[in-house]
Amino acid sequence: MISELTDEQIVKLAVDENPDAFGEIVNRWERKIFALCYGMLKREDEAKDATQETFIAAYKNLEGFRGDAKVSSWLHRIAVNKCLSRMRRDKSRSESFLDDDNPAADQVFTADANLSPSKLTEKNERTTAVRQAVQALPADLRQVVVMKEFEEMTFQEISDAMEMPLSTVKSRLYTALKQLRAKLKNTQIEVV
Amino acid sequence: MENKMLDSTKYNPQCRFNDEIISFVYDEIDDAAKSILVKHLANCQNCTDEVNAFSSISYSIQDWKKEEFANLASPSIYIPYPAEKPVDAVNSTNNYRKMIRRFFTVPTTFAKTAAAFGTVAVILGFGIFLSIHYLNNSTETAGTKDTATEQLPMRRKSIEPILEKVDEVAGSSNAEVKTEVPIEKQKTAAITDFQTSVKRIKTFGEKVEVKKSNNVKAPKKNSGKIESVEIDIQEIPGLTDFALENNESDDIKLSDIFAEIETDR
Repeated sequence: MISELTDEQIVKLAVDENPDAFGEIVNRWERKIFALCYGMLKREDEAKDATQETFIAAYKNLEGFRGDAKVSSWLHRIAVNKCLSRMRRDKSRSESFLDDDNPAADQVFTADANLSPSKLTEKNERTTAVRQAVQALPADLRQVVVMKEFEEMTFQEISDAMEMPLSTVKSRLYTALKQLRAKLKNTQIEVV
Repeated sequence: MENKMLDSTKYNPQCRFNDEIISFVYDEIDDAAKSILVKHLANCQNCTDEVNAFSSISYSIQDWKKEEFANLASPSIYIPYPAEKPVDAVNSTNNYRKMIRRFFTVPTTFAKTAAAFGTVAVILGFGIFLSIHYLNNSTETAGTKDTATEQLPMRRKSIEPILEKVDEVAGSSNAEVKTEVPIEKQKTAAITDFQTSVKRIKTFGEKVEVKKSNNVKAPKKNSGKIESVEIDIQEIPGLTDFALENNESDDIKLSDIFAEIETDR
């Protein structure tokens, strides 16, 4: 049964004998890669496109997959690169709210004043505020937050996927949370 | 870690428990580090506030994930797999390819062998052609001057007529006349004529000129007078018959001829 094989065995099977075996890889990682893309990008449609691009790129480069690496790490690197490419493209179009060089990104986030508290529950406000605050993070910090929170990856898994030291992962996440805390300080979210 | 604890104060912003705090918030801290951090948090309000803030943010992100992302459908991933073929078609295609591969693989060896044999055959054929052509030219050239040489190649000729003539002459001389010319001179004359004829014949492959008469002149004693007798050779000797230069042939030797002459005398 193909479902009993490891990711690496499936990729080898797809390369050597049956390309369709790659479908099992898609089934296993589609949701997590979509979560990563959704956390990195601000729109659902872009996240879906980035996810599609990620798997197509992986499929087309199956033979280039290094046997000593994990398929999950490989997919995450591709996904992050796809998201960063899209973010750069959006930035060049001046359409992105998440411009890292935008001074507004460093400003304290405040909840959208147009939202009527009467129409939105406190939970929704908090969700919206957190989402916007996360999306305002620099890309390198954001991807760590998304991988940790959305994909619920361990520090070691993130380290492997991004090929960065474990201490760097923790340092980036600490910095990201510290910036989020600062951005959400003046909202109704109780962040202490 | 102990130094950090010693240096920590209740609101000390210089605390450096960043990694421990992050690991603690996400519950990926080992027991020893957790024990130390908990003791530190009890004495450091700054770090305690940070842990609470990070935990709150993490919960908020999880809520965001549940409220928005959880309701999103996963994208439909289209992978451009190679066009599928029926099993029979695939097998037949593979067989066809295998057949083609065999067809071009096996004959490669055969072709090399055939090419080698062909090359050798062409070389041999060319050599044979040249030899025949050369022989023909030699024969034609000689034949223009002496028709007798047309019969030279490879014919084994009998020396018997020569011997008979010599015997005849020698026999008659012994019975009837005294020899006026010394026998040695007679022998020398016979040998000279004979060798002249032989030398011209045995140079195989060369254009030779053979006098019309391949005769052996043997001394003939008739009424006390030595006469020259011409012996017509009915069949011209073959080359192998005259390869007698060093008396190496076992067929006929001049020494045998003269031995017979001596005997007859």
